[in-house]
Amino acid sequence: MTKTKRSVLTAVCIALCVVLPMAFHAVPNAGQIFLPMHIPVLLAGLCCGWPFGLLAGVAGPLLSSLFTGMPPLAYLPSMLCELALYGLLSGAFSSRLRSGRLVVDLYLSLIAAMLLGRVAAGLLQAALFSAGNYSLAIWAAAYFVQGLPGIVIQLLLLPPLVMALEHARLIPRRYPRRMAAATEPDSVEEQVQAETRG
Amino acid sequence: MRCADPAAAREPLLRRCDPAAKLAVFLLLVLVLALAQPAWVFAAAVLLLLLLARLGRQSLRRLLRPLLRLLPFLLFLLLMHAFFSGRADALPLWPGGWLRFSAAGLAQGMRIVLRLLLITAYGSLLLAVTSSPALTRGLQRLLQPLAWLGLPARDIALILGVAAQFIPILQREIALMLRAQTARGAGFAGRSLRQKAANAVPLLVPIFVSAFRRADALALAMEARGYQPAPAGRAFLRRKKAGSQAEKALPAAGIAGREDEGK
Repeated sequence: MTKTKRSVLTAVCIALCVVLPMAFHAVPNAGQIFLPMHIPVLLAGLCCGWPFGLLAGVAGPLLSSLFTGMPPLAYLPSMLCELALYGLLSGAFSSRLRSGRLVVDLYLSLIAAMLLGRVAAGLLQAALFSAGNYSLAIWAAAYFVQGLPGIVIQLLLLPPLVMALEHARLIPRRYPRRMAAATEPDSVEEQVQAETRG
Repeated sequence: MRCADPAAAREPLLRRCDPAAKLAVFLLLVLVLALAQPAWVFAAAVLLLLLLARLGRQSLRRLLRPLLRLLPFLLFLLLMHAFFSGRADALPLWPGGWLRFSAAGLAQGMRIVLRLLLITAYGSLLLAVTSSPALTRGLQRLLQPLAWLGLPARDIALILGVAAQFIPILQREIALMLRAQTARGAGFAGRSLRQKAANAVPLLVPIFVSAFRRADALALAMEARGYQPAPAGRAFLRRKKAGSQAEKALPAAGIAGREDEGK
């Protein structure tokens, strides 16, 4: 994927970080339950790599706070660190994990990023943002219990979404040779090569 | 002094200011408000907001509109600080009562609420008097020190600028999709957590696919027009700066050219 395309996809993910929570505002407490801002950040990391995921994680909550006032300034630093970690980790794991199967790569990257991100965000809360006023029970309740529907949505939605984007050729295929054998060729170049071979 | 472009002369003063300067002042104000404790700083910030709104010809009602949705939350925040702060000066509202009012807690709550109101109003004012491309150029200039550290400042500014331009487009599209999915019988509220999660998926998938399709088209258009990421290439179109003599000469040259064509 070209750098320009990665940049524009990241820009769209940042814009979705602002717009998606607004769509969920009709449901009370939707932000904390559905975690709509996490989805575009994780997607930016999975599709564009860790630098772009990190940027989406930093810029998404910042722009959302500026445009919509949500998250409020009091929660912004902790949320910014948490989302930046998700973007960074999902991108880093996605670029390093190569099992040979797209679904396995996606689920492993996603689960590792979600778990490690939550652990790191909890450590930051305990050390910086709520120092001396934080416990394991609060961490578990805030990051796992309250946002359980959001976690389920992320696990249900993100891997099929990346596969759908690959299928629609909006992002390049992760394993082009294996997929190309099963389906028609991707680009004009591959098509010409296939015809030459034929 | 006469201005070459009468339309530009009619524009409010704040709109004509340098976007990088406006952005820098906004960030400075956010920092001051985030750290401020004395009441006079907040009073000065309110006065400055009124002055700037006048210079930018913006009504205060328009600037505070984004906060209307947050009013219940702000009220809740204020009451929490006034009645549940647990401060030493807290007095029970009735003898032996559990509800304890604290004047210091109320003052702290008011400070937090005012801080939020002022920052949002300043943000709305900045967006009202600065166009998206100008904001992107300003951001790029402000991020220039990052380039000295080897970070792609120009790319970051471009990404943020494109994101800001995508927000209203995606907002319209999501509203449309929400209505379309509701018309097809999708419900977005459910009793159980599983139901809630399952109901959100039919909305989210088309939103993401459509947004990525738009991004793909934009990236293709940018590449077709020769856009190159930093450090090579030019990212933004800029109006050429010309001196007053050149500005006077250009229409004359145009008239002369037409006369030549007539002959």
